[in-house]
Amino acid sequence: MVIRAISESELVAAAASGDERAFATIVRQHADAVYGHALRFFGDRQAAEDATQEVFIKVFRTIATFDGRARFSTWLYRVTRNVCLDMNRAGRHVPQPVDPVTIEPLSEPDFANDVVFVQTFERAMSALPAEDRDALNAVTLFGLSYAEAALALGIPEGTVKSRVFRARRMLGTLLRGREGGVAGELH
Amino acid sequence: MNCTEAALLLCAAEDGEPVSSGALALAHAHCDGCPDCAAFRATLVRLHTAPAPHAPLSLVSRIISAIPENVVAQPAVAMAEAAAATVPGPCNQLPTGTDAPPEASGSSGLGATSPVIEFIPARRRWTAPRIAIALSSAAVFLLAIGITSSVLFSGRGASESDMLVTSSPESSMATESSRDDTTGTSPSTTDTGMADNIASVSPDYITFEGTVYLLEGIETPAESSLATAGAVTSSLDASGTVRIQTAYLAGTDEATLYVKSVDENEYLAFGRVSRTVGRAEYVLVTDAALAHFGEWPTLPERFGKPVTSDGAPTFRLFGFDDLGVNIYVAYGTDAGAGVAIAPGTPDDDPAAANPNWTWWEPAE
Repeated sequence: MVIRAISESELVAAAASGDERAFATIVRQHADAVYGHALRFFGDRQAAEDATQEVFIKVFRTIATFDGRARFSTWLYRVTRNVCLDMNRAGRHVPQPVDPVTIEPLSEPDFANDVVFVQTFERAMSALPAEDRDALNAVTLFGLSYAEAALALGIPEGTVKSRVFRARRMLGTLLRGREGGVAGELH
Repeated sequence: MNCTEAALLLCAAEDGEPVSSGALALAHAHCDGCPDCAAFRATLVRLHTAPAPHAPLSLVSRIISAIPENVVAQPAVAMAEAAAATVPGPCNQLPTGTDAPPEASGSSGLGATSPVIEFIPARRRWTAPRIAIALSSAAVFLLAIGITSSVLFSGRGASESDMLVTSSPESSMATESSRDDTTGTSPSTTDTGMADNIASVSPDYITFEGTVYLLEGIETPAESSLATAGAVTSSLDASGTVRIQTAYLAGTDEATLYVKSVDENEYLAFGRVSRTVGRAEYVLVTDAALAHFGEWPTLPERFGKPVTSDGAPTFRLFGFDDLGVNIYVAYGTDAGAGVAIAPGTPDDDPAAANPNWTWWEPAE
């Protein structure tokens, strides 16, 4: 049996031509990223599931318009982000606000514990300013480069860089109770 | 190198951005001597190793099992729908969601239940549109015969006045009436960007107890088989006097309604307008009185007019059949309570050309 690696563009082309297996592969490859973004956007699992479904419905129906000039992940990120924004505007789901002060800093053992860490981390993500969180999601969940994230978000690359940095710095503050895990400001 | 420069470099390296090894070494050296930056570096490492959210397997399975081969196998349909979609392609997409549909007011009232995507096999009854097409074809054929006769017997081509004679006042008024209706009752058509496939003239509809019926032709049923079903309020033409007419059923078959013509010499047969959703027959329902031919069924008044192409805030997408016709349901309900269809359905759809959203309920 010959196994051939298929490129992203081949996969997308196959899906656009009606190959169900290609679509299934796309869903499996990207469902976590889409769901993760929606979960952090709404802070609610049900809303995240609804958004994920809607994103892939839109992908099903519009993939023929994907022209391949950008990476598929870039396109998918924009679809995902817009679906979440549209759902919010339409009042179908509303982001659950997380007050940063309600996030208890992690102790050293909890910081090393995956379960506790992830729970607190996801709450901290929802507490980030939306623009910083969007930039961080684009880079970490969808694997976009700063340039691709800049294209997707319509902002300069340097702004992406600073937003990603700002998001991480705030996460450090929220998770450890002090910036980067140690008291004090970066100087 | 100061703390900010070091942290930015560490971030860039973490994200796979090109960073010179020399600069990165300097950043690490800075962190080794700076507790704050060392902690930031440790946080970066921890964030890197933290598991990202996973989509529930049930969700992924549901999405995959719902992939309709025919939806993606019709690029023309996909392209047309993409033009109306709220998510444009990568080149014309606005970055901050400003391409979204107009803002919907009020809460959706969405319950806790997850909308299940259902790609419903299309097993619709196409009787109504096919008959309409056949009648239209017959009319065109007769018109052609008339013009040909005019040429043959008068020795000249059909003049403009000849053509005008063949166009009845009723049909002209029907056209005008429908235009008014189109522009007056369906702003959602332009709002949603689904102006394609919207006709200016509707088929000949009547309503009976809220259900919409379509004129199928003249029939001569055995009167002994007819039973009075109730009353229909209609002029049975595009502009005449609205009267209350007796409606008859042949036995228990509610799919065909008979109404005597205006001169009472014959019966007009009206077929119930229906579609098949998930193997169940759904009938077109409205609470608007369709008193004249040429008027389009509209949503029952209990539903607010959708503001966006995806039905918000009144409806939510429930699924679509294998021809790509979206099926919407009211928030807090499922398809058992009825389904809504957006304007802009294909030509062979029972809702084709209707500029309004329509509501369909399971046939009893």
